[in-house]
Amino acid sequence: MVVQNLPGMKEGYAVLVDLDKCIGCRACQVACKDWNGRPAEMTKFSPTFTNPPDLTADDWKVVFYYEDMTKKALLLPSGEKIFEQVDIGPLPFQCMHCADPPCARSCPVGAIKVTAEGAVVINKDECIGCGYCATACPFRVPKRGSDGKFYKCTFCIDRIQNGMLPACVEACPTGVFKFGKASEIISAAQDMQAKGKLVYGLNLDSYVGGGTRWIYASSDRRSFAIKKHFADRGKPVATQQSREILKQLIVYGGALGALLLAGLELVAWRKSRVEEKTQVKEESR
Amino acid sequence: MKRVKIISNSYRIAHTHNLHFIAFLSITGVTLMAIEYFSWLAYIVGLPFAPYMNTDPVTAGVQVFRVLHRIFGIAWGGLIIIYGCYLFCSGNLRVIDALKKPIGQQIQEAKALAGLYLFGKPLPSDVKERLERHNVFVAYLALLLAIGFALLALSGVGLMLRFALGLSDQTAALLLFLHDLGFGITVLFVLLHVFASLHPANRPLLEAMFGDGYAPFEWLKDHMQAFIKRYNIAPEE
Repeated sequence: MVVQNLPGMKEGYAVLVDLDKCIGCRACQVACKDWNGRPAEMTKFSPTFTNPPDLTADDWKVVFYYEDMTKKALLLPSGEKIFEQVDIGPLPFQCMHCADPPCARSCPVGAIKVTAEGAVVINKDECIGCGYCATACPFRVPKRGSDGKFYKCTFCIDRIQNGMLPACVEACPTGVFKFGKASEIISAAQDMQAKGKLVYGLNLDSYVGGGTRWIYASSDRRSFAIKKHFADRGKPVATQQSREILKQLIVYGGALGALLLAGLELVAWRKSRVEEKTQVKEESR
Repeated sequence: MKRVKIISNSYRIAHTHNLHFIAFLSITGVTLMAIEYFSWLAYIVGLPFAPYMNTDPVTAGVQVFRVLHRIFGIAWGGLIIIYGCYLFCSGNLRVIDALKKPIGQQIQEAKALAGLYLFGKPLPSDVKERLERHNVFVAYLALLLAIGFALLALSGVGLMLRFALGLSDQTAALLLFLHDLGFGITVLFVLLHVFASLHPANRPLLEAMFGDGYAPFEWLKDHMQAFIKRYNIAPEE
């Protein structure tokens, strides 16, 4: 891990994703690919509309589609009729840009930088392809490219630093993404939470720094997409957490143990020398 | 002075090369594990390679270490397997003999040895009589080392073939943890082993290991009495 100065959770930028507005058109997915010059690739069918089935080294943003039963209301002359219907909940997904990214902590060469804007970016030239980032990421985001290096969403840091919106944010026809200063976005997310919407990205585990810069919100109608998508994502990676503890134990415990044993050794040698000298003196007498 | 050969040539060769391999693999591995403390080392190594690799010296150094770690890891694994097979097949694997003693005797021996190492207390005569070529501490340390080596070797091979075998990120994360755990166990072994081998009570043993393999018979009478009796070793000039 290379020590980095991380911007606070309320510093830099963030994005609020309002899933209620998402129509699943994939304009964000295409815009991401287009802006970042990622090539097209062969894909495969999956049981859902999600295509490709997961993020890849060339697909840094993918719209996931989830299905569930949702309650709908039909207004009839006889009165309101509530019924259940299968609904599809699209969820645009990319790197979550954690407040304290475990991928950056695990990178042995410090190739993953956290910019002042809060973007978590892999520097391609510094990446050695060890894959530690992929093993540490609780959202399973970094993916290995054909050149052996790892790739993921850059938060369009090149656009942000030039006063533009991220490509996906700009391309969305229904205004799903609200990009802005992190403090404002967090307040907006908290307001939505107060109104009873399901919000994901605030108050997360300290493993990711307590939160992410991409915050998802949805009403009851689409909340199943958030629940299903993040059911097994975002949890601390136990093996990586254990590695972080083990590293401290080995480095500090090893150094302390060596010092302690060296001290004991010195005492033993001193004692042995004194005994030898006494023996020599007695023999000479 | 009467001297007895207690360390075979094969043991000395295997020990010396093991020492080299562990030292080299530790340095190259710990740099990857804790770059915040060892980036200076990666910088020194990477500086000449950085212009050719089109990157900064630290990244170049880590990459050089990573490649060497794999090459030396394979070589070390080969040494361990060959020497392990030799010991097993020739019936010379006696290092865990002390574990066959009753547990009460093992505790008594451990207490007496700890007293000797930490406070310079002389060994009680009944314990002295039962001391084998390898005492109970050596036997348990050997077990510790075997566990550490097994974790390092298996997880290391898995990590090296991670992409070829198509292992998932979760499996790779587990292998990385096991590799670090194996290293932690090995560090613990090395600390205790170096302490014991540098202790003045074991000086003749250290000289034998890095000398010609012979130790004074007088010292053996105090530290390996059961071994001398069992093999009916006659002191030679």
